[in-house]
Amino acid sequence: MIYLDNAATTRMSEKSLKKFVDSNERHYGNPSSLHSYGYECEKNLKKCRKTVSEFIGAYPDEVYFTSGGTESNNIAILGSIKKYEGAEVIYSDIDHPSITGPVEELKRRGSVVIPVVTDKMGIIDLMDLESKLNKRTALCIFTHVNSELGTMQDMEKICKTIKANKNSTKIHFDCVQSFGKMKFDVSRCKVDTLSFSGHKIHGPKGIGGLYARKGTSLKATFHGGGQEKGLRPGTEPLPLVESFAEAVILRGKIMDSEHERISNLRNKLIMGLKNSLEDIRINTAEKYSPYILNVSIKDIKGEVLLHYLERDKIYISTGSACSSRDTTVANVVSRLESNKAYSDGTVRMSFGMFNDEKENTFVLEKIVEYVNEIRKITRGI
Amino acid sequence: MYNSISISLGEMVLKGKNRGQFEKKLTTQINKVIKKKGLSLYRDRGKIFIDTENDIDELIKDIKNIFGIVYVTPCFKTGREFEEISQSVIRLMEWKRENEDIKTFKILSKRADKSYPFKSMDLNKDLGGVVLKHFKDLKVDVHNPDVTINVDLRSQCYLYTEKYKGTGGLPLGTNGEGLVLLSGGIDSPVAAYMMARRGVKLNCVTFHAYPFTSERANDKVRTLTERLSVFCGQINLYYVNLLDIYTEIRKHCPEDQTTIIARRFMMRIGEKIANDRGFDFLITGESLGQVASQTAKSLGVIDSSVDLPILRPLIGMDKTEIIDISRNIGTYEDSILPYEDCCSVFSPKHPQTKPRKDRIEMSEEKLDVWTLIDDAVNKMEIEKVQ
Repeated sequence: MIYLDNAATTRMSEKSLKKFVDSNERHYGNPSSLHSYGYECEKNLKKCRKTVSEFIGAYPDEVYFTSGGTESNNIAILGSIKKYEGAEVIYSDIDHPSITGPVEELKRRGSVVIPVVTDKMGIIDLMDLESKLNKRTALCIFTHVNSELGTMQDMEKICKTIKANKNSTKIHFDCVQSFGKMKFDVSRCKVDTLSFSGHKIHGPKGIGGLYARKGTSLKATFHGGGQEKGLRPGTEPLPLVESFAEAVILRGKIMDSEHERISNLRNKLIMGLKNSLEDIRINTAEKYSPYILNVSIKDIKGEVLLHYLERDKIYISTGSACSSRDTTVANVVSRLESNKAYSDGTVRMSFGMFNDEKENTFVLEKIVEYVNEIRKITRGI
Repeated sequence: MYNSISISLGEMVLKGKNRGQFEKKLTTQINKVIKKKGLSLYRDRGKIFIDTENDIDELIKDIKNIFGIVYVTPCFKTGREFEEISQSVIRLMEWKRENEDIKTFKILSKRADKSYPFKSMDLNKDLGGVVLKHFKDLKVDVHNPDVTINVDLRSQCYLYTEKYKGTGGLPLGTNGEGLVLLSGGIDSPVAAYMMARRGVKLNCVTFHAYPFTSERANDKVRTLTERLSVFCGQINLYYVNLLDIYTEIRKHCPEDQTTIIARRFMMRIGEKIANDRGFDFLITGESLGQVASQTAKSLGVIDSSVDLPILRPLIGMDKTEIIDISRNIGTYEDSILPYEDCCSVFSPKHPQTKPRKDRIEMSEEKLDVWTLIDDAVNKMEIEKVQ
């Protein structure tokens, strides 16, 4: 199997998987229990929190474990605002549903939600952002790396711009696609909350985290036994947390070398596609995340290429506006390419630690073969 | 309270000498449902009854879905002596008043057994008197009562106050066997249901173009067939891949004829499957003017590709009416899942709405029609869906 859909989710690393199994066998106790076994589990939980917090330059008490990106975004967005009525909230017009969903909820609760303009590649227009900031701006929400295009925002610059307008405006960044792949340090920028997830970095599904700068007051979105300082109640899933921390440790070790290796893989694939196929457009800019490659291929449908490749157990993702169930995908693709003959043929390949050169060569060969085959049918030749 | 249900038959009672055959099919369908529950049916002066005191609501729900039944009625079965009937009427009224605010009532008797010594009118009067004597606060209202207690006198006496509407139609299998061209959209499952309701045993064929279409599209058709099988029992589902046929059409025929030529291929394939298996006709979900291939001219050109009759129960219906039925039979939510079928993948930008048969046939001459059909049918996959 060649899995090129790592922006959707990833295969667990061996170490993470082993840790998950071990922890289920050895640390199944409840960290909140008073007995010594519960205490041992609590100590392990603390250790993991330290690992994760250090990875992003935070203090351990600034990191909350959650079920993943969507939950973290919901807590940060719905929990940041003291009084919903009349509060102004700025977000970008190409955000993921885990952001647009809670933003819609804010709107229902009486907040004024204002989209900030982004360019074709999804980069925020800082002038537009500045013009929309004012004394009523309570919260700004952005995605660090866009999941469709790999476009990366300048977090430090955006934070600086917002705080220069009003220091108490809260800033939330969705870092699900950048966490463990790009270096960032919360102590170097003025971000208030930030979300990340385990399963995008070869960790387990169902675990992620929320960073909240010290002093940031967040309201809980649901209530229970007071775990995670009441912000995310429910028995702490220690095996998931330990497995997640293991994934973080691994990323810490290989992040730089992987960045280079994946960049090479992606660039070779781009070169190969450009050399072997006519009428294609590479939608991903080289300077952004190397983990995502978005391509539009004329006279094919993205979903059709996806099904051709799945017969060889090659798994990619479609960016086709016509068939996707995710409106964000349609939104991103349609702004890139107004020519339907190209936009219908948009596909995304996203890389991970298990992809290698050999796979890359095979994938290129198969894409070229199938695009030619599909074009023969669609062009009637 | 209730200890029996009665089943009222629909238009099949109007059938002359064939009535027996229709009823036999219907009782077979009912038996399929009740035997699993350890129950059996019997007839009392022509009407079908099932005696049970357990899960009556569940039984009624299951029985209602059987084609050919117009009403299902929960009854309180009792003896025929006047004293016995009186006591039972009082018990039934007491039970009804536990849950409902009843101030007025009416007794409505009917004698299937005319030898019964009391006439219906006398029974109404006498039983009414019994109720008034027992419940001092109740009054008779023959025009708009809060409750009507029906007294149905047969070899036993059956009391009831309410009845549930059944599906109607004719028993399954009394009107031949058809092959539905099932696309996965909203219309064709409704067409299938409507024909099954008229007693047609269903089989379905679906066309895909994998890998041009998703495997999930086939799953969707399977789910829709499962929903239909709730009413129709086991259904044979045939999956035919049309990719090679579409490829040839694209290669040799004008693009704006793609849809109409493909539809003619679907009909021919359907006819071949039907003829090989002895089915009597094809069923489609076309509604006049809904899309390009559903204009009167297009339908004429499509029909001329086969000899077998094509039944189109939705032809004069509006989309909103079709959607209403789709919701009622539980296929709507699955029908609107966004997987592309082969019609949408290969649909031309501007399909012909007034095709001419001679021109279409001229285009088809460039194709090896029967080899393509045989290949597609030979590679077809078959599944029994229940």
